[in-house]
Amino acid sequence: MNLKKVILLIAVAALLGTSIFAVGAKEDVGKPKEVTLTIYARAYTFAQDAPWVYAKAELQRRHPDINFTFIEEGFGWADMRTKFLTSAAGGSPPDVMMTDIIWLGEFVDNGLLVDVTDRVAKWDEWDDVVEAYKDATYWNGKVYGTWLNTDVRVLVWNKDLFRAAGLDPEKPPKDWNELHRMAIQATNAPHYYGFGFPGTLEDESVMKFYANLYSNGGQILTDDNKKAAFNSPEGVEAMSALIDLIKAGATPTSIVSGKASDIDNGVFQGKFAMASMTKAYGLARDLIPGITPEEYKKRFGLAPIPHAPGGVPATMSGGYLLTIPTGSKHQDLAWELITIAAGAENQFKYTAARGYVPTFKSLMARGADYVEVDPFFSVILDALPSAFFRPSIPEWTEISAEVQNVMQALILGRMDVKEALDLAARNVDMILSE
Amino acid sequence: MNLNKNQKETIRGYLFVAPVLILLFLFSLYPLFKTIYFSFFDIRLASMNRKVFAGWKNYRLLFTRVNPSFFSQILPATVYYVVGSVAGQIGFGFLLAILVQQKFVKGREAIRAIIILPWVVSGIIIAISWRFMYEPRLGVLNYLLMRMGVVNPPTWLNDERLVMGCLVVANIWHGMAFSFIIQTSGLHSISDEVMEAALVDGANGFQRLTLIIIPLVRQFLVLNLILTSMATINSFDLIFAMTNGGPMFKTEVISVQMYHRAFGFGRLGEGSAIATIILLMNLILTIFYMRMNKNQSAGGDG
Repeated sequence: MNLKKVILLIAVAALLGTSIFAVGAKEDVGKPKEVTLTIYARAYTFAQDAPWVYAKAELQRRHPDINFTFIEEGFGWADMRTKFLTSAAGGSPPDVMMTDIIWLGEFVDNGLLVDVTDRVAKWDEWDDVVEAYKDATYWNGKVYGTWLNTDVRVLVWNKDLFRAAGLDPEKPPKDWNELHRMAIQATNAPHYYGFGFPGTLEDESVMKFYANLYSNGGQILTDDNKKAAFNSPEGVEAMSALIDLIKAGATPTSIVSGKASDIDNGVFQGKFAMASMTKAYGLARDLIPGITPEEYKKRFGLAPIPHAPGGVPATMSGGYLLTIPTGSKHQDLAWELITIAAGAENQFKYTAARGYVPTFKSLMARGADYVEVDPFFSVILDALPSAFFRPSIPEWTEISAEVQNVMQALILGRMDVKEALDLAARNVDMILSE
Repeated sequence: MNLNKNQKETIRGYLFVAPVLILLFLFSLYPLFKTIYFSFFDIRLASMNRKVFAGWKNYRLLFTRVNPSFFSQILPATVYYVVGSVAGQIGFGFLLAILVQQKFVKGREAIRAIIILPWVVSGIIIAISWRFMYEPRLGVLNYLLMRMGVVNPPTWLNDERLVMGCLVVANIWHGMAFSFIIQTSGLHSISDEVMEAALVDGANGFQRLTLIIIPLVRQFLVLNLILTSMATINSFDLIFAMTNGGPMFKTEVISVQMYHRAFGFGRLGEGSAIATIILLMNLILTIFYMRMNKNQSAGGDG
């Protein structure tokens, strides 16, 4: 074959190839782009319209040129953290992660979340976020997400059990002494008990102790987060207030394997006369199908958590941020989904339906709208000024586990309160000193 | 290259086993060596790219930690769980296999299918079912006890003295079918002539069991012992879902402790050290059982 023929052949092949690719390119024009977004969130958030159903529909409406596939993975609290860490370690993190505020330090320190400081600065709803909540989204001077919701724990009581015990169903206990007396009176063991709190190995178990601790003037760690402080005399009294309920028979030792959800459900199912919890109304709606706000108000009551005698009102607060994990392939779209899901309009629908607390100033001003959905919402809003956060330091999960462990020993009567808290404090100091 | 017939045969043989060897390396040996390697590093689940050589620190931590303590909590819990489960599963599995084998038993196939059912159900489902059985106020057990007039029935999984026994019972129920299958195979391997000869010689039931059946199915028993022991040491799902190691670490067996350190607290190095110890435990047990079997075989032959 001579040179002319070779050149001609190459030219024909090139022409043919170009034509083929040109045809292909022409076919791609107008064809929607395929994008898959993976969301890791608590399972219950997928079971209602707000936030995800609305957010997904809105994102799709805004991007008609994209064909979205959403992979929703729902978890329990502890599983969600483990699953996120393992997926991040395996190099396949989700695009949106529902991050408990106490995991923020751990995730950020390990480079697992995307800095969204610039993004929030451009987001028109950011200025509407309450300053205190805005501050909580910072870690090392940068923002890593925005709030889906926050919450506070309040006392919920079962009015039927109060009536059966001869207690005034409209008068909840105000301090630890009243709680102790009324819990004993409301107990009809083994059928139902006056007060319930979880004792299983989970963070929610020790929240009841922390609320008592802050109410009594104590704190979990020292101000610099370098040492344990919960074993102070205030801490011993705070823990004793709970353990004395077990000793008095007003709380069963079986709570040692009770999860927070078991105890919370127990109030609505008539197993406990009182317990402190979040999302009271959302839970009542889940457990009692078709319950109306009026019926809810008739059968159950909400009040601030009883405080220490002579102490201050205190409750524990938590909540979730929506964050973008490092390694997400669609960070812009993930952020857009987050701003829709956690924007004020969606947050209203989500928080009102569950009895959670909003983080926008504009929503705080819509108390009347909330009360229309949840008749006790004012109790939740009133508890906000006395809310405390757990330190969201990277070691939190291990620190909390130490307190959970000794709490089990206390529930089963195997240790003295002071001895147990000192043991936990020694272990916590060791963890913090590493 | 000139190869003779034998060499060609050898190469062909290696080529045939190569896919299996590659799979074995990828899915068994590589993770195994990686785990041992990780056990010497301070490595966190949240930051796997930042590992620091730690020498024996992770092993030291396992043996010196006080809450839970390896020697006074984890090891006794593990031994209780493994010995109880293995003895129960093999004992009941063997007894059931003999019972079902009896001539007077009708509908053997159906009975076998029913016995095997718990084994094919996932551990988590078993755990949820048994949690409900043991539930102090609404559970089936206490309902029955209260119907029988017991005023203060036990709180089962919340009682630190009973909790491990409760788990062992659930695990025996779950795993007994596996022993039943192996022992049924063992019993089938005994020829009818041997049993008939024993009958003719006037051997009673106990003599037939101890002098004929058990010696003849010994290989099956040893295999059963090795596999069941390994499965029980490694088992995690049932305990995790029923008690998560509680109350007060009474059920914190070594596999659950491994999960807590590696995934609960994200300390992958410590978790890997515990996994390596589990591997050693399995190895020691297997060698022990095999030696025991070898000695008995040698004694029997002599």
